Amino acid sequence: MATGGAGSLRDMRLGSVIARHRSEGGHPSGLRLFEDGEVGDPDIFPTRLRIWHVGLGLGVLVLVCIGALLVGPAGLSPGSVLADVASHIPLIGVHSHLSATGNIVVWQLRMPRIVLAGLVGSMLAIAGASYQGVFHNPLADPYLLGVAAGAGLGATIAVVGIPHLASLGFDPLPLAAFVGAIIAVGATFALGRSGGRGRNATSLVLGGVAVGAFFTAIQTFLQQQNTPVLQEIYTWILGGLSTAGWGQVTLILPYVLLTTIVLVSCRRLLDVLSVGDDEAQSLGVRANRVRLVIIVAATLGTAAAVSVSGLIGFVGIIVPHTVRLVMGPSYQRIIPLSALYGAIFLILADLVARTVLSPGEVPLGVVTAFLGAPFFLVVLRQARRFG
Amino acid sequence: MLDLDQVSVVLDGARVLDSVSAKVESASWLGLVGPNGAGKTTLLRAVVGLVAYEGEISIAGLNPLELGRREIARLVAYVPQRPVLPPAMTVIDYILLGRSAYHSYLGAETKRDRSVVSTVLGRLDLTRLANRRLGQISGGEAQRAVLGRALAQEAPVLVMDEPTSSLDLGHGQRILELTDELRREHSLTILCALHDLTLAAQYADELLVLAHGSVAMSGRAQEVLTAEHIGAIFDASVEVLEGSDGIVVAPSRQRSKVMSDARRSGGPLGARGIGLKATGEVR
Amino acid sequence: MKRNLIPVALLSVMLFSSGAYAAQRPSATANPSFPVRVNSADGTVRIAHRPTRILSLSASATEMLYAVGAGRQVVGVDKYSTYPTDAPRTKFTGYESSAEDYLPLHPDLVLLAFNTGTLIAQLHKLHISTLLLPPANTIAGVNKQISEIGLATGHVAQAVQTKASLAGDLASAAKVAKGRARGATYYIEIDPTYYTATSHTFIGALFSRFNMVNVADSAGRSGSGYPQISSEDLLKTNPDYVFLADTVCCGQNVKSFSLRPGFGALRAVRLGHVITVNDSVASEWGPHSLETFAGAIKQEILSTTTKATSSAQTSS
Repeated sequence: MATGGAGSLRDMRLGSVIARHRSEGGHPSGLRLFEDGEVGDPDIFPTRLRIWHVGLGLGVLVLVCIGALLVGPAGLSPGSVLADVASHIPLIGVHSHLSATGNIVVWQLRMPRIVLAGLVGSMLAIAGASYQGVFHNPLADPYLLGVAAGAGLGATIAVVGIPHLASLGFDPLPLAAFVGAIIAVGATFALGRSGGRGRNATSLVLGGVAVGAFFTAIQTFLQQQNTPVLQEIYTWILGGLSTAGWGQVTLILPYVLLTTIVLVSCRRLLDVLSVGDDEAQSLGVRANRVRLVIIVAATLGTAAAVSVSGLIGFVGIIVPHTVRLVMGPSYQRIIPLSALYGAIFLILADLVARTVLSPGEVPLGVVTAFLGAPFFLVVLRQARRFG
Repeated sequence: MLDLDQVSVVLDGARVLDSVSAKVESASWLGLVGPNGAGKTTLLRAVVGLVAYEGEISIAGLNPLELGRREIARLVAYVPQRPVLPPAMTVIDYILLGRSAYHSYLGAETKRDRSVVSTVLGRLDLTRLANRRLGQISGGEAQRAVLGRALAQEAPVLVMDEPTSSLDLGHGQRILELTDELRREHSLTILCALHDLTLAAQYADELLVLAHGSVAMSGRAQEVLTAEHIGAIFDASVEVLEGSDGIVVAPSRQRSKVMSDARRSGGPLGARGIGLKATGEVR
Repeated sequence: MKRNLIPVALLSVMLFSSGAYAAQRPSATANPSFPVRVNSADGTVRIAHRPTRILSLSASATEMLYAVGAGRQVVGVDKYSTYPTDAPRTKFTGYESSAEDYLPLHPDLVLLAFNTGTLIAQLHKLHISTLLLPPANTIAGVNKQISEIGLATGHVAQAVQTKASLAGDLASAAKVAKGRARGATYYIEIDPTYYTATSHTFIGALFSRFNMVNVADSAGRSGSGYPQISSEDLLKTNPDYVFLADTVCCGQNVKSFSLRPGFGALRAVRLGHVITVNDSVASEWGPHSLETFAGAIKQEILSTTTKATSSAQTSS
């Protein structure tokens, strides 16, 4: 038990140390309980992302991309496509013998579609993982706060309200869907806040349910009043990636990049949130603010993805979950790997969608459900075996 | 080190804490005791900054209301009564959470973070459990992990809410002993709520007794813990004995029977509305 | 004026293939030479050469193509094109989301009724011309599409003939019916949940030739052209004629219609004026389909009028 004198001396020392650091604007890490000499081994291994995890994922991604590039009904031989790709790599002296049409098929039709699938899949997976972390709900998906209902309504209004869609010269669907999604989530936030106790997780989820139901009702009503265009709306809603050139990729690329950077940077904070708002607060993390930033970022990215791809389900739940089962619960691993494997998953799903029923196409949302559910069951079984 | 001046907390219209004042000297241990619902948890949460309060709190001469979240976390570490232990998280990751106060918003962990965690693991005898998941360790080990997380914050003030409530006597003693050792090694200031009065007497330098949201009494264990005081504040019947290293508060059955007799006959403590009739007593 | 245009045309044409210059020479037939500008629903389309590999993804467009004599230039039609029966049918539906699917046919002109996703944009990227011809609302609209197809395929004269033939057929059908159905009300059912077509559709336009009145119009529903009315509307308006166009999709027939609650009392049921037709009449507006359906309407009017003269008339 310390005496009063030494105690107040230490008080003064501590107080002045803190005050000095604050006035210097530095990180007050000078407040040390453990002096430098007495700390232990810095090479212990917390669960972190290893370089080889990322490397493996990137390798698979490249392989899948090239594989998907070779497949299509245009009758281009895989060899000629590979040669054409190789001819774009500097320093390798390969020449391409692809025809002009073949060139267009590969670089204006197939490649943008593959890249778009990768961007959308990555975005949905990373948004799903973030939502799961923020809401402590393993069943949270990127559409939790009404993004799907809002985007669907936006698209429906565009198709129904603009009589000669094709004569406009540009496609208003993505913009309408995007705006609809943002409005829906805004409404969810407004609803959640009005619930008295502030922007906590539960009130947001409930708000999302209410907004989703309301917007879906309006959407269904509009569709029912305008059956001739029903096919158009549903083709969009069931999800699909139809690309002509790189327009859609450049449209969503800024949003996806920005969102991914923000969410990947916040992955450590998601781990802190897993002990609950109160404890997170006591550890120095403002739970409400972190939640807000993550939700805004994830929503923006999801809205952008949905605006070009329609509503593709399952990616946002299956991919983060599978990563979690294999790599553990730390978001330091789940977030980056979800981005990688979400891209791979959707590129593969799109490949299946456009080849299985050729020349028709299976809607992408149907394929993701078909592919995803049994795959998830298999992984779940294996995880149980390993405890 | 820790100064509370007329601290009051109002929750949902009810005055949960009323003008509580206390002073904790640096490197000393203040034990917070009192019956259920006295406001102990609320007081601790106010010190940590989790609940709004009137009055003044000062930590190391600083007003926490003027400090940022991270700065407060570097000053005060909190061991809650029912900590959330994500079952799939490993012990080492859990303790590493305590270093959050040293990372800027987007910052990553540093070598020093890992060094501190390694030290804490060793000190709390958790090194062999470092990669075990929280769902796979025992209650006592988990409580050590929570203490480890608080320790990793390198904060001079440690606020604990009934750390022994979910532990058996042996594990409880071990935790308290550990805390006391750490206090002496690193000059920690401890504010700890305890439900066991004997343990409180053994480990705390001073006691603060809360009842119905306000301070009933404060001072050293010998002065505060008498049978009359405990009877009045806790409505419990006890015998206070002299043990080999301090006082022992022992529950007393006889007095309890006398007291319940008195209650049934409508004595000073009154019937508690359980539907006892004035007639038809049972003896 | 043509001499002034040639340098301008040459300049723009040189950006495309050199063969376009050869096409400036007048051709042997009385058709205008290429290139031509055609009106598509998504703007004006410039067709540089006479198309020789046409892919039709619209049943109505297929009918029109063959009607104007462009059949030999067609290499593929969608799976729903039923007329003519010897057209080269493919597995395509017109709702593919990748234009790559069509490449094995090497089309130089694709006709569509709807645009799915970026299909048209993809075809343009592949330098394949497209012509978007959505469902017409009037007979005039149908005629316009016939003209455009004639112009696009180099059969302008035949297109004029086709239009005249269609007009003549419709006029004679109306004449034979001798105005017996003037003012009679009709209801055409597209779906058993009472989806119908108003008079502002090509179907409705046909009935208007017979001076018949659509009950969906009087029920106050217009707008989209294909609204949904309720069974009460039907009971209230009590049409003279009922045409069931949901026979294939939904298995409706005269019996199932008359067995619906309260429908036994409908005038059309009592007088036997319920007629079943193939579903496709509601989704095909080509000359052959129109003529066939007009014939069916005429038939019905003549036969029921014969019946009506032998039974007591009820005032409407």
